[in-house]
Amino acid sequence: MATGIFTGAKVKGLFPTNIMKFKLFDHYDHWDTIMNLLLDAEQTEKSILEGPGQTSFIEDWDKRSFVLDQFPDLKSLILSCCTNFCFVNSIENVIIDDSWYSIMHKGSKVQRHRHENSVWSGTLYINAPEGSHGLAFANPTIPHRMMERQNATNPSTTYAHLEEVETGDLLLYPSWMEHFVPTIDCDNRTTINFNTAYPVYQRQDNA
Amino acid sequence: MREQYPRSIDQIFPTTVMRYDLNKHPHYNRMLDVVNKTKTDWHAIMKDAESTYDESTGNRWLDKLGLAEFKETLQDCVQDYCLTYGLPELSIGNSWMNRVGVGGAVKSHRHEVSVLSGAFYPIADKGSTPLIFKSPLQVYKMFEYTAQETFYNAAMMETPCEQGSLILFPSWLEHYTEDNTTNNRVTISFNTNYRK
Repeated sequence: MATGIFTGAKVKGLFPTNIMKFKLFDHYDHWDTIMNLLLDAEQTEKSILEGPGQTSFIEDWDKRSFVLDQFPDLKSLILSCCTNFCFVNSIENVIIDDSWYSIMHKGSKVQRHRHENSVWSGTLYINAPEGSHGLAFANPTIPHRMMERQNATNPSTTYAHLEEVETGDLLLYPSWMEHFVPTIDCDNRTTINFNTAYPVYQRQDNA
Repeated sequence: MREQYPRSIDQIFPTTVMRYDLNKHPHYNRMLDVVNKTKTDWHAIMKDAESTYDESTGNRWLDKLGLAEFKETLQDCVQDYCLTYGLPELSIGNSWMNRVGVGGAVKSHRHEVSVLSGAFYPIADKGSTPLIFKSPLQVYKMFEYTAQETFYNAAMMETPCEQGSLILFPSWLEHYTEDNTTNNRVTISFNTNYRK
């Protein structure tokens, strides 16, 4: 500093986006059982999942997957975390809406996307071997920053934030936030993914 | 369920705003002399208030005689922000002065063709209307009902207007003020660009 007049600048990080991670591994006993069931589960055509793997995700709104309904104890556990997420973020309570599984193998990735028509979304890691990666979230302020020379190491300006995970982790994040899975380096990375809705908007036949 | 399961919260992609206290600057009074002698005029962005900003000129208020040391300090603050934020070195470019009294306001705007912007308050009566930033994320949140406004879901955040304070913020961050309720709220504003 040339003049040294000021000291102790106050720094404020405005308008952050909260993502939450719950560690559920020790709170559920059937991770392996679920993974084995999903390996034999019905598959749909892969859309944004590229490379070796399988999923039950389906684009058609009327044919959506509700895989979590097969595991009521797990769904209940997740719902309690969603309630906590809503409380922390001061938004109205939500219910779990559609849900689907994804199993990815070495060399696969998931394209950048967001989850329309959902409030918060979640990803539960049924199996997350080393090299599987969690989710990479795209910086939503990037479109504003046309005058800035990017610095990838700064948390405000970096293009993406990669959240690493372990088996039993549950990530909750705003559905509007674009995210992707970078190319993974392991087999059997298994997740259950879901969307949420306000009760008034929930599909009638999924009550 | 409040704390039943271990959890962590990451607050990602914040927008950095920095605040400096320049009240003890040795050239504060000299700067005030220049402020008091500065003539302001109507400008479209001001409501019932005046500015030196004129699209037909270079807008170099901080280059007025007697302000060199003060401008140098503002430049130091800019450099401090750059180090915190991870930007290359910036130089102060155009600068101007706004004068707002009772009922005056600044309409919503951003500062195009600038990297970082500053608002310094050489004169601000206690209770002067704050500077309000609009959330750049609001556009995405068409599917959220908030139960109550918090720091994490607020559509707008205000920072107090205090005499002697300098606020630095990204030029792309939209901002404005509500109607002022004091007699004297003077702002020196400036933009920046890359040194090389």
